[in-house]
Amino acid sequence: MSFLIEQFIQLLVFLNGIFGSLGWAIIGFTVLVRAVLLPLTVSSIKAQKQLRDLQPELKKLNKKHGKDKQALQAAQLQLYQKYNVNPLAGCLPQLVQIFLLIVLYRALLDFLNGGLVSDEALQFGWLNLAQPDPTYALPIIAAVTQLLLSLMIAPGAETPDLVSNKSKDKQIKEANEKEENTAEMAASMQQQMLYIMPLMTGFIAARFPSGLALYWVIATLFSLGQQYYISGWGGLTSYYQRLVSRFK
Amino acid sequence: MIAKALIRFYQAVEPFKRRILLTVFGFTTECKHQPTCSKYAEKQITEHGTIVGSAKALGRLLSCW
Repeated sequence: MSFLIEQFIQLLVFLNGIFGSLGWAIIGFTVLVRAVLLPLTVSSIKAQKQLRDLQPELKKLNKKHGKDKQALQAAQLQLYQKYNVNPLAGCLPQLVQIFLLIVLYRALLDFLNGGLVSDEALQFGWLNLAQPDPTYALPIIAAVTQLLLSLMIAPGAETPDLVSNKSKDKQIKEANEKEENTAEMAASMQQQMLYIMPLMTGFIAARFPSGLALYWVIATLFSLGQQYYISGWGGLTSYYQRLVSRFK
Repeated sequence: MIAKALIRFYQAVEPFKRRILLTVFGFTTECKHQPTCSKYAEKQITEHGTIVGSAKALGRLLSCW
């Protein structure tokens, strides 16, 4: 691990030499890391989008096979193959990601605190990259971009629907009610998550050296761009419309 | 009790982990199994007790890679 951290620090020092400024070095570093990961990212986001589109089909399968888990899995697999969905699944990639996350964090922190660069190089605009941002501008940007990302990946105002509520069958009515309840609960959970994460991002970004916050902001912007490229504005449109209609 | 509290804690923290990974790397992975391992573990511990239930959950975790 320390070997990897060392390599990343070397890369940062190298980029610092090229750009002549630590701030640009961190921005270049972020873009570089994300560019390397781009192929993985694109295929994974595409698969996620397909999965979301296939959700009704998956629900049908769930109903059809119910308790027979093996048949359900086989049917799901068939569905995925039919639509050529290949979601990146399993915890191994996540473990690698978490490991890399720690490496990146340590490398950036060591780099900023290690006295490897001069004090002038640490100055980036109004920021001293080794210190938290005293103006709170960067934390606010971090929170706002995170909120935009939240809204974009939020499923928006989709409501699940199985059989129309007009049906006289009592069982169907009950099933619909139950489904609405769980959907509402999931939606409210997501609603909370929608705002908690940006708030936490802002607070944490205010405490950390602004070099780290800068990295986070650039990474978020990159994610925003990717998300837009692959699935458009997503939930952002419905939230925007709701907001507009409220002020009409 | 403790095992279940740990599972609940994981479930509460999991969305944040997802979001952090999504922000930094641009993607995360989906669960391989349905229901998710943590839900499965909860159920197994309720039905079979902490020791047997945890062992079953561990077996399932190991089959996800």
